[in-house]
Amino acid sequence: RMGEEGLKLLTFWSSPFACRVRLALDLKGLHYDLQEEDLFNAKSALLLESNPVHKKIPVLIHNGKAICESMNIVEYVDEVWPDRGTGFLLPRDDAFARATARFWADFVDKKFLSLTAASFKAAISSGEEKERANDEMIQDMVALERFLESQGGVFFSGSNTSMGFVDIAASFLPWWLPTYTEIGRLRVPGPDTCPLLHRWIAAVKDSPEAKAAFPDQQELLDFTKVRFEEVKKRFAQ
Amino acid sequence: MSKDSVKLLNFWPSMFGLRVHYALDLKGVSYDYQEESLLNKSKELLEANPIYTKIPVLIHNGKPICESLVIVDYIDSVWPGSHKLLPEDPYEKAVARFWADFGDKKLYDAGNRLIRAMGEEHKKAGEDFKWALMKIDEALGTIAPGKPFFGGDAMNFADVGLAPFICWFKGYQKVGGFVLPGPEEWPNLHKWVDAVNSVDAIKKSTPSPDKVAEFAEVIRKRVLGAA
Repeated sequence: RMGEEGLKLLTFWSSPFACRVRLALDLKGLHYDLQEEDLFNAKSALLLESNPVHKKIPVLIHNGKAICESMNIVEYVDEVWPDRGTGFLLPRDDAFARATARFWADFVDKKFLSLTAASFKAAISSGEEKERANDEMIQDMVALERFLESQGGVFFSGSNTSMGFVDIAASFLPWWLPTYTEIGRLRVPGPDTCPLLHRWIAAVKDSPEAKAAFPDQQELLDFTKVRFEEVKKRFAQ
Repeated sequence: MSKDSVKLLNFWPSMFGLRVHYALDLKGVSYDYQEESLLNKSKELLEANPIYTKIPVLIHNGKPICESLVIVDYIDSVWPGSHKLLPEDPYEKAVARFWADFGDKKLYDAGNRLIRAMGEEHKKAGEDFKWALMKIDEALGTIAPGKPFFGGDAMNFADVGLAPFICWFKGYQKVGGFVLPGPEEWPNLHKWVDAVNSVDAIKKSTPSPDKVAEFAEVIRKRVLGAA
């Protein structure tokens, strides 16, 4: 377990950012301490010291140093432990393939984890505005489907068996899509329009590492329902 | 071996496009430049970046790479040369990436609100912008104490990620109606600005802050007119 001494992840159970880092760590077979942060009451001194700029989780602490920003952490883990567990997460030898993976990981962040995303706008708005934003969100998912198709495998990595960088970036989707439909009251494309995406969703949900990293679906739905009312109030025009 | 074909599709005031200019120019890579009109985007741009139809796009031997920091990463991989932008050490690399990304998350976001927001939101944008620069000043002191750049003696990925905002300072101050604190308050930031501005490769492609300020004011007027 060389180099894993003191490996610690500051996390929050329902954060898609934190869960996907957990997934990466587990896919690499790393051993680490998990410190659940009490984000709504009092962030720990360690969190505030480790991420003084954003004061957000996830933060990975390794050798006393803090690495912040979830996909940044995934890249760091991939570099420090390239051959562990599932192997390379980012394509090693092909700069263009690496750029492609980074582009699509960033696409997932922009389209599903950002406050300017159509998915968010669709969830908090109503009427025509909601429908328009929802249509845009569906187009975003169709774009993911096309990319998945071009990669030629079950996973965005192109492999039928191992997840890569983009898979990890998008890994929260199988658990969050039900929150979009049931709480956000959004339409999502079905297996007829996005068969490969649905196959990917099933494969991710089947992965023992993903199941361990992501929260219980019902708990997530219950939690999101409560939070959503607060979020809507804050962002409604 | 045939010569590499390298082409940058950009719009001159874009700080994102400027990141790509800086990366290529610091490494001495030759490239063609195509100015895009955002109101009349070329067929080439629409085909190269169908997802966002945005600049910058780098087209290398016919293959398009999009998203400025992804492009800079790519450039650093393909042309490591004498001026490597990403440190070898994984932790230092992560720190450099964090600060380049900070440009997007905090600087660009606040700057964009300075141009487009109204009333209280506009005032907050000014506060947020200043806060972001203060954080950069602090970071320079922690990461590279006594050195001009995040990368120490030479610009690295973090510097390339953040430096393009420098030519926008004048414009942001004008539309924001504030003056940025000087070197007494932010010694590291101002030393960094001076150091960046004296790099020949940087001078090559940076648009004049006056031209950028004029551009910023035009957009601001349009936003105010539409309100």
